[in-house]
Amino acid sequence: MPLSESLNLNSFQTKTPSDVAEACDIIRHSASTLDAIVPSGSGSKMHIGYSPSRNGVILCTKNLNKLVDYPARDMTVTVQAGILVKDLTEMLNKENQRLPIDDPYPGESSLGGLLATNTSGPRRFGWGTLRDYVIGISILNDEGRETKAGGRVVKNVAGYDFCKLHTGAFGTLGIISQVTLKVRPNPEASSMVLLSLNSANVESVLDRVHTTKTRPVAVELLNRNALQQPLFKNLDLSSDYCLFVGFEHGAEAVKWQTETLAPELSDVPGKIDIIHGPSDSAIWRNLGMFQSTRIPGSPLTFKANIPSSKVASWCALASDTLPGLSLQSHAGSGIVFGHLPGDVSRQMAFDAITLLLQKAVRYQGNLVIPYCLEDWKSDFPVWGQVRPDIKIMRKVKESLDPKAMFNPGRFVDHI
Amino acid sequence: MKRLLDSLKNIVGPDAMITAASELMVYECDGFTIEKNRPDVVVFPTTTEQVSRIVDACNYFKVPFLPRGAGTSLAGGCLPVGGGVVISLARMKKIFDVDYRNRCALIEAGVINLWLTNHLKPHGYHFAPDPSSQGACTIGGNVATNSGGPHTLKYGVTVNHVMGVEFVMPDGEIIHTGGPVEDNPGYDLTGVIVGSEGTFGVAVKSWVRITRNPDTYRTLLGVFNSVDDATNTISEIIGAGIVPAALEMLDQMILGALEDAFHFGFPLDAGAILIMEVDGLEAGIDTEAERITSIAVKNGAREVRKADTEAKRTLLWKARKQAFGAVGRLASSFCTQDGVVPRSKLPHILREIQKIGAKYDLKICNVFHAGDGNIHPILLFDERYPDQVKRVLEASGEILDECIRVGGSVTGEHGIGVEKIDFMAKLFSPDDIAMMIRLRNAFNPTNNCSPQKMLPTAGACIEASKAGRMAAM
Repeated sequence: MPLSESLNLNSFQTKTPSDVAEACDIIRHSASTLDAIVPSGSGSKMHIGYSPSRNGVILCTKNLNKLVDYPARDMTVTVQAGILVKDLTEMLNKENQRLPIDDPYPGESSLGGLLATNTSGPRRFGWGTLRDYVIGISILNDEGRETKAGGRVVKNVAGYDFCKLHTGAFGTLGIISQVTLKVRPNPEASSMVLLSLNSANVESVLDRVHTTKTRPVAVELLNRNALQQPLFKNLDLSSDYCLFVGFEHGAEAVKWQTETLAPELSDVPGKIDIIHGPSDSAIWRNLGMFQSTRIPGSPLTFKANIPSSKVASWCALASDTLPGLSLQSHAGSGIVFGHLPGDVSRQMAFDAITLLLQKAVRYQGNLVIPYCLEDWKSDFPVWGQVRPDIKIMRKVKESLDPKAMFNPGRFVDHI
Repeated sequence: MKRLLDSLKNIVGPDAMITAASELMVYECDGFTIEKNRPDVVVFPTTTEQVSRIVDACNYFKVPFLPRGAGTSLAGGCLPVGGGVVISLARMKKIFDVDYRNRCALIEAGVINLWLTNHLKPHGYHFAPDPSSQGACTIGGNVATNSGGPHTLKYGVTVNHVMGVEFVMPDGEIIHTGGPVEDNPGYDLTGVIVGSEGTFGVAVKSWVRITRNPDTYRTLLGVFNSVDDATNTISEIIGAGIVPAALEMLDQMILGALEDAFHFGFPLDAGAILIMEVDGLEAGIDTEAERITSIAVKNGAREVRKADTEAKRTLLWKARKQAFGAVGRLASSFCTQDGVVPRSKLPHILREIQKIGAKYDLKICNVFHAGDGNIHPILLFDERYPDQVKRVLEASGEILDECIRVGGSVTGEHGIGVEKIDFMAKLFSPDDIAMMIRLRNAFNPTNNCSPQKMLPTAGACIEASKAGRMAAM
């Protein structure tokens, strides 16, 4: 999406440094003029969050995209953060390795962007999220200096864990310039078991999948509207919901799990399908992409985080509130993405989001809005309900970015 | 001090504090016994509110304080530099809420790591971080030091299993970060609190992730004539894309002590052994075990034994995890180091350790998390002889310098504490450390909480040897 369509960035000049030194110069200059710095990798997620609270420059890291070190036998890789995830994936694949994090914008995302937004997908249930893979990080700080934390070894507790702090910090604490990641071997095999479900059965089936003898790496629940989207249309599914249970392990383990899960659930009314194929096949990719899909006319996409045990009832409430809603849940992890239908009014959307947010908060979770029409952001809870630990977050922000240069106003509570 | 003691007595009661010098001795160091300093008082709160009030009192009287679990840490993390108040969380040992459906549990800081796993066992779950001290160490201590353990190779370290904390800030305020639900928006404060070694405040309760037990294990014992053959095996297993549940190495010297203590039947003439464990589903596990066996044989293993009963496996892990206890059979004092190297550099670093041992005329044995590249050379000495202590410190320094030189770190799981403060400037630039100080100041601006830990303080660069009273100097 062009930047000008997403945020109010028309007056921002884009600077694309060719190396770290040049990027540091840009930061130092902005520090002297008190310009804001809006970090950008490939630009695929620039629609997320509020518009910056003051003018400045977009610092694009796309040319900071070099491979620094890939000792494949140590199963670590160090790269500059502007590298495209697809290029990193290709490189790792040559050594039969991977970063098992789903990229909802295949071909577009930069690693730094993926990291700053803490993006994840279906595999998070089995393989975790980016915070589990970043072992070293370099940050261009508010003084225009490259600083580092962590290292290049897989186990390391020397110093504070800035890797965790910057993962998901939305670029508000500095520019991620370089990252060292743990990587994993490619799985030998993968499969996906698909189970068509009636609304009434969702909760009990999710409970049973939770205690299955198998060890899924993905448990995805999609509602009927989601199944009608182009990503899934060829599956020809028209039930209330479909559950996708994914396995990625050695060949024998995948075969056994596929053959075990289907009989475990054979008493559930509904069709069972099995899709065999590599872990980069279309079904995995499409499940990963649903969150970034733009349904024509849809004014808003939300992401709720709730307990896994509440996914069925929360999705039922959401569907009842807005019948045209397209829903996908990473059900094992309690994450639900929803695209609102095109015909919903601003007021209807606001009321529905308010209700669903309250319900999520009651479950100790939250609901954020990764995408909505720009003029809705003024009154919609873009970053959900502010929690009391915002006080500490503000102290961290003030300490690491005292001039509020990095992405000012864009993140939680306009931090 | 008297007014502070009166305040503390009002908060926790007279039965929940220690002030007698003879009793305070227990709290003058942790597992790193080379440096010691006695606190003025130890208090044993039982609620978060009490912790908060204790912190308020310490701030009011301008007395430093620091939290302590079981004191099993190995880098002086709970050494009370400058005295002050030790807040022992040992009496906060409730397991409040285990939510099996959502795979998390809320527990107090004083819960012993193994208690939690034993509590979960009947339901088929465990708490994955399993440091060797798991029978004694507390979850609060695991959170403070981001503990590891043999099985973190596959399952990750403590930070990968902590979802949130109830936390008393250094100004006494009680906050909650994260929680039982994943992905709450905002900064990952939980992620930076874990591993901050008590310098950000006091983690009183934690939401932890619980992990399903594997269906089965295959535990193999590779017997090698030389350390080189064993380390080459490790390198090749990892390089082949196999992620075992654990991959541990023991050298000949430690094997002798372990055999005397546990009578496992270790081959005493072996140069090194590897404990190689895979776990998971029954389907495919024998194939994985066979792949590992053939890699070991290819690299010179003279035999690969199977711990083929639960009793044998349990004894093997007991021997491994209590290895440090058995070191007492080799020397009256020992210093355990905690370096990390890229896994492919293991053969090199072990050869260097051997050379450094010879140079300083010290016996050094090795038992460590080989799969992670996390070495634990154990330097044997007698703390009554100052010359030996000096040589141990110098040899330790050389080993850790070599870890840095080959791209590694000076601590994989024990922490910086006071022991390794001097190494921070070798690992990190002044700019890097300045950012760490800025982060600490966001949580702990007065530095009254766990002072002089982890970071060299600007303008008053602390030397490890001055932190407390040296045991033998």
